[in-house]
Amino acid sequence: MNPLNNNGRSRVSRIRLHVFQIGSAKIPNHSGGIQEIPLFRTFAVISFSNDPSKRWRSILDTGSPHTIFPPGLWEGMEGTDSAPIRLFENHWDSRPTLTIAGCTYEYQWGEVDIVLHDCRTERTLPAVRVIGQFLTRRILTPKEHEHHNGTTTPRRGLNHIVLALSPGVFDGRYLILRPGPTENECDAWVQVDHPDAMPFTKVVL
Amino acid sequence: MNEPVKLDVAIPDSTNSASVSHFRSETVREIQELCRTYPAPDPKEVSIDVKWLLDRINTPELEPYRGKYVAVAFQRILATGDDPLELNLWVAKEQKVHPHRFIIDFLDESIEQ
Repeated sequence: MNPLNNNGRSRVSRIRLHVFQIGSAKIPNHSGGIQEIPLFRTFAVISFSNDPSKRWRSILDTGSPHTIFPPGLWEGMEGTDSAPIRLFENHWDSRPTLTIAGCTYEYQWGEVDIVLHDCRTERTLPAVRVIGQFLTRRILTPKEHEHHNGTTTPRRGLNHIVLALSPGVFDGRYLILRPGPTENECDAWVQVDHPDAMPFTKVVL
Repeated sequence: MNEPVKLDVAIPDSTNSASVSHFRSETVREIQELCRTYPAPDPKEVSIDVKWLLDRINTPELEPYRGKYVAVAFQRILATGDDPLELNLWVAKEQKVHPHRFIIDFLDESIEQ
């Protein structure tokens, strides 16, 4: 099936992913020299279903078991009937913790409907209900406590929403990759259905 | 382009649960109040700003703001800060706009391994 119509425009629902070089790594090669390889991260622009104006550039993390929301990026969107985020009751005596990006956080489970956006075409994919970990409070290590005395610099921690492949907003969706305008670029889309595409959850980017 | 404002808000000790929770719940309450005060933004206007930012992520233009959260609207960086929630509140108050009218994004520093 040709996914393009007569005008060369897509006739299927799809949104663009954004692949950025975020740095490089120097590794030894066979001839004893050093080879520099680029490091990439893939981002998607998302919103919560009942508020299409509030957008976040979010990291697609193929290795993350769950979708994770850092503190400060979701607070204020929970706790009322009309709020998009519903936090689950915590049945433990203390809040559970997770370590990510070198930092430890307390978190609460919750759910939210996530919409994927393509800001160049104004296309969106239908909302998917995602259960995720909503980080509430960062726990400082003893060394980081010293930061308050100005002796060390605290780690940055998690600064972007992390989108897991499955379970998550990419469940049941397909990845399309095309060469980009230059050899260092590629175009990546997520779409709802395509017979020639790979199921997203089987793809390693 | 106007110089963005550097936001330097004192964050209470994040190991002190009571003070953090009070501090943040007050900020959240103010943001929710501003959401009720100002009209909801047009998503297409926000898209223009998202595009503006995406086109510049890897360019030298944003180099001075790496390692910070930035607030982007009207195709420029309005302010930078270390706490996204405080940045959101400050810019909404300053610009007198709905807190969702602008994008809050973190500009990663380049990784060299």
